[in-house]
Amino acid sequence: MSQVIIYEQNGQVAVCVPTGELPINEVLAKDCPAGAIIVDDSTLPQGADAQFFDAWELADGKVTVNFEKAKAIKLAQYNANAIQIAQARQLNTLAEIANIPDDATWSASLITGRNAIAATTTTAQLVEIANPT
Amino acid sequence: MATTSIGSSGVTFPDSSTQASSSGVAKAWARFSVSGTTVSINKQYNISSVTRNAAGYYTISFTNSLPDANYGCTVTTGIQAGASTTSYPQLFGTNASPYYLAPTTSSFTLAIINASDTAFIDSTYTSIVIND
Repeated sequence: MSQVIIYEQNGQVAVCVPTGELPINEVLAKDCPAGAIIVDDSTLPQGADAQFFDAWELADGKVTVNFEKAKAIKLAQYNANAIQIAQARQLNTLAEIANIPDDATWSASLITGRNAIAATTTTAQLVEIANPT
Repeated sequence: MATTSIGSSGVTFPDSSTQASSSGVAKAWARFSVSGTTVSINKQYNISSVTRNAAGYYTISFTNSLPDANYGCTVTTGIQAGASTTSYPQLFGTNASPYYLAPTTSSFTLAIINASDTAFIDSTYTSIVIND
């Protein structure tokens, strides 16, 4: 358990971790904008919530996860992964192509994955959904 | 000149406030790690804080400011935290257009991207050395 400094920046939560070379109050004054606050790092989102850092929001000194943002982040990751695989397929040899699912099967699996993301209600469920293969 | 003694040999070295304004020497260095989303500073010299602004986007602040902002940086990153994906550092980078922020005498930014250039990611370990 240690203390960190948090503040909102461009609609996201920034977490400043002091190295210990200076007292945390000096780091607060020197390295952080007005409005930044010192908190115990144990008060920050944990577990699956911690994996969606870019969905963190700060209100009344407390950090929470915006679940809709977390879903959007997961979907963006999922789609980026799918695009990467689709691009890589064009470079595959015929032998490799023979070992991957046909496009119709693969497309159906993508739709299934996207629907699963849309149906989630917790960050733990989002973490469980594997990216396309 | 302020100095700090190292070991029992009696040899003294400049402290970080003096070294930061000396030429030809490392001005600052650090190695930090990310586990989950927790940033841990493993070791450092003349670094006051590491701020995670977003996934894969950091601000590194100096304890003692450097004489000017034309310092050289060597940055190395490892694999993505919690995965096996390669990561690449973007010196003075940010996570949004124009993806660059000029360094200052008191801090600089660092962005880390994945191998396919599709997402900003955290590296398990990041090492930086500042020279001038």
